[in-house]
Amino acid sequence: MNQFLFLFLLALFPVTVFGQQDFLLEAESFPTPGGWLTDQQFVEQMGSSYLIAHGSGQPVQDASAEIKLSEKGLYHVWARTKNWVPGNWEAPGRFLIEINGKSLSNELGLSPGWGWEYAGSIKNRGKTLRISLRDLTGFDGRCDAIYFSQDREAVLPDGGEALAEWRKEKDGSPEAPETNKAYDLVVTGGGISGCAAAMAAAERGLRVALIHDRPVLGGNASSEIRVHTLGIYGKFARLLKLIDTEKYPNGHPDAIKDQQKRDDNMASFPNIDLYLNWRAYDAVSADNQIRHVDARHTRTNERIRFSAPLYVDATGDGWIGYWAGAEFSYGRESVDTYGEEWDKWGEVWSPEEADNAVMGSSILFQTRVAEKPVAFPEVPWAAPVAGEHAAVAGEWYWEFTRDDLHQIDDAEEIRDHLLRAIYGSYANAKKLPENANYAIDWVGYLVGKRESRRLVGDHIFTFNDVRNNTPFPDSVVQEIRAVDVHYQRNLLEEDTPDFLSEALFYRNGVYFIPYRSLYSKNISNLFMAGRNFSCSHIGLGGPRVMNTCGQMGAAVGFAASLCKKYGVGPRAIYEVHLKEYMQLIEDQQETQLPEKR
Amino acid sequence: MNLLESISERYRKPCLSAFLLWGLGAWWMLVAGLPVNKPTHLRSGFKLETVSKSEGAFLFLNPDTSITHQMNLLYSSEGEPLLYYAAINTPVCIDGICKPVLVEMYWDLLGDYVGYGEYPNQPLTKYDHDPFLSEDHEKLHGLLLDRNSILDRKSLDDLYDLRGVSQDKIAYNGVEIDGISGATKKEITASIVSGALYSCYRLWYLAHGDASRKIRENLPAIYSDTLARQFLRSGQSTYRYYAVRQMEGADFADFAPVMNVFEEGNPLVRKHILKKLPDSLLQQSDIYGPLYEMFPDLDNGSKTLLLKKLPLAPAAAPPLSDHLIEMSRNQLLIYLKQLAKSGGQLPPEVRDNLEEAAQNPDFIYAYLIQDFLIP
Repeated sequence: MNQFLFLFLLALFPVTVFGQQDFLLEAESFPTPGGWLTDQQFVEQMGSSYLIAHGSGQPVQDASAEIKLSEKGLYHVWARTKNWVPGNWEAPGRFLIEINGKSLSNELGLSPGWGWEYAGSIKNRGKTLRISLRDLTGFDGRCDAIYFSQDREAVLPDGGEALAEWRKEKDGSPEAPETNKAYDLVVTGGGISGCAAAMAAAERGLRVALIHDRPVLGGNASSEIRVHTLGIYGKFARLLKLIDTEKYPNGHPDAIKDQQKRDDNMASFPNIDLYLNWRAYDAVSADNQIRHVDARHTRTNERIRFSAPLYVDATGDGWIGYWAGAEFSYGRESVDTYGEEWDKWGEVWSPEEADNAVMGSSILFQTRVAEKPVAFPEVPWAAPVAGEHAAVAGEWYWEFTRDDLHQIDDAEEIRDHLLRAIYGSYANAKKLPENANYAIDWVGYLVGKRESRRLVGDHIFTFNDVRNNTPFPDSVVQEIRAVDVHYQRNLLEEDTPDFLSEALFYRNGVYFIPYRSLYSKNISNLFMAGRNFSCSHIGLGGPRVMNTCGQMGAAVGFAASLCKKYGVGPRAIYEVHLKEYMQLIEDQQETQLPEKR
Repeated sequence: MNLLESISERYRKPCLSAFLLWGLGAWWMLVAGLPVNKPTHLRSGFKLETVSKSEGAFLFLNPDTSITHQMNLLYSSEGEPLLYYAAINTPVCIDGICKPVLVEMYWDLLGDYVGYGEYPNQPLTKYDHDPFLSEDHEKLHGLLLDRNSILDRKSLDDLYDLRGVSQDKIAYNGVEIDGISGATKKEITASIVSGALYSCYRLWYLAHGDASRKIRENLPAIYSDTLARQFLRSGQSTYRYYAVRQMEGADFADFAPVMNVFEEGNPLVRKHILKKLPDSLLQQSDIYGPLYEMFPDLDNGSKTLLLKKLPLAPAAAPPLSDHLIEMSRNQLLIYLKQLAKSGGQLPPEVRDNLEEAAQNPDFIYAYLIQDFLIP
């Protein structure tokens, strides 16, 4: 959506009149979010984007909205929220609802699990009501929605299908999006691979929609997660240098500079329509072909249906493929599935039996030394995770996974566990006199994932392709980086905190990823790029870093251009047009960057 | 002035005798394939006092020097394999100047380095010829124990890459970071004995190279029932893990030593016990009883596996209701599913525990139990 339309929609909000006896106000739609941030990461699990008061211990500025309720009289107010660390301590994410500057009676964020908490009641005299969220802690209080009803006994569904249906009923939205957009290529996911796919296709003349659920591009490389880009550029240095990062330490604030570079460069492609803050929520297929992808704005909840002959799943979690019915895998295959043993490391490398102990997710944080001592609050709710661990800095090995947790289904729990690890370890360190002047500058709140669903292509890239340096006729991605597979340290040393990992490296020179690993085996118009490409758990170990993922994106973007030229699907490029495709890839090394970029 | 001249006349004779005696002893030990010197460091759990004999096992190659070294297998007084040992004499060269490094190195039966000793007349020295201090030995031993050291991913050129062109080294605003491990140059050098990088590097590759691989390959040939029992009793997690991996069906019938390993072992060993334990044995109360009793004290992965195996030992399910709030969300779901499967009335103590947890305001997953109790 262009900026004008977005502003127009928001402008409708300041005073919204409702002629009902009840009213649902989505927190993420507050026109003035203040210091509260939009969190769209767990929509599929808990039902909606929500606002989070992520202040690293400093209460954030109020979020506010204005509404008008037409019925005069008493209204009861509930908030959908959760106590994200229930226990024998004050809930860490407490907040209040204020109406016209006056707090409702009950603190919120106190009950375990997502659900409705009663905030209090107001007398509506028919005037404009200014609704504010007042954060009390700075420690990640969260508010999904506020509900006003004149019925004190209103039955509010806590979650699942019942909540989704109830929401639909309250906002009166139709089944399907009313806005339709058609493109040559729809790329979902604006990480490095999605950006590269969009650029490659756009410069070959395709009209591209790039749907991304955050306000900034880059995914794990973005200023919101701040992992530096690793891996080589392969044939695509020209494009990838437009969106990569410097090699700063992970978490470094200079990620913001690279963010600006990336956003500017992406905006300079006239053929790319950027849909920032749009999260895809469905992909519908028929006859093994995707017909459309539906997306929702993470703040306004407006919806658009995108259609195109070709789609790229660069979501990282393989959502488009998953919804469309593409074959996928998740977890660690047994060592015999593809013969991926490495005797030296045995089970921690590849298990005898398949399991779900995939590589974990990380959250980075950045501290600085201030001129004066800086206080940090007590965080008893973090202690059960951090234990005695003390730290004023983190790195990539602050990573969390457990074989009973799913990196998608349980992502909120994983994120919250990492936040407790960070705050708890930092609080421990702050008790030491030498750390008195340390101050937290920044803590991420978006889960930086390494591994999740992997869509199955015509070729499944495995450890053996690295071990044998397999040359493919369709080698479009190359890498020299070691296969780098992680395990949790507490598997071998039980007393180690469960959020620390160890990396194992297998280096074997240059290896190649074939084009056949970049399109779906059973969905005929679906490409994939990034960590959800077709590979095994061990196969993912090397190419999962962002420049390599960027190569995949560029490769599928160029393939899409030939698909359009010949009116064919991705597989035909390998079967029929491989020579032309490989020449196109080869030519990328020679093609110069347009001067303005 | 040579060494002899530096010793006063009065002590010269006894010194000479002592030296000759040591030399004779050392020669004999060498011929016998036994260590000459007391190890400077030996990983805890290993002792040399019980060594009774040595056998030449194989030759292994030092790829840096193309020198082969003799690997010896040391046996305990009971005649069981104990450790591998090699007397290492390898040149370490810096800028074309080479000096010999002499150490006695030890490996366990899985090929993991466990310790080294130095020769009193040939101590380890640094670049400036200063002998290693005790903290240097400490650091070297720690480095050699680290199977996953960053040295494994490094060439010497990388470590001494003054031009900063190494592909794995990245620098930003004056801070150098290893592109693979994320470690800073400072952290890398902190793990290496200052002034002895070359010696550290060469010794790490000797400890973890061909020698280690060949020992691993040799293990099946010397593995016996006696050794299997020793491995289980050893207290060494790697030995226990290996022993459990070798066990098949009937081997688990003698469950007491396995249970001991389950109690004392690390999560990886526990996982293997639970995965390899035959179903028929897990159905026996004398086996599932002690296993499930440990539930509240176990690591998360073992808890999950025990819950998944409840269908084999349904009688173990009711007591677990005492530990509902110690279960993760997904573990609780597995548990409730098992309760539902067992059908009929829930035992009163289980229902009481469920109801209590369902009403616990601090229990994050109380709602799952509420849903279960009121379908």
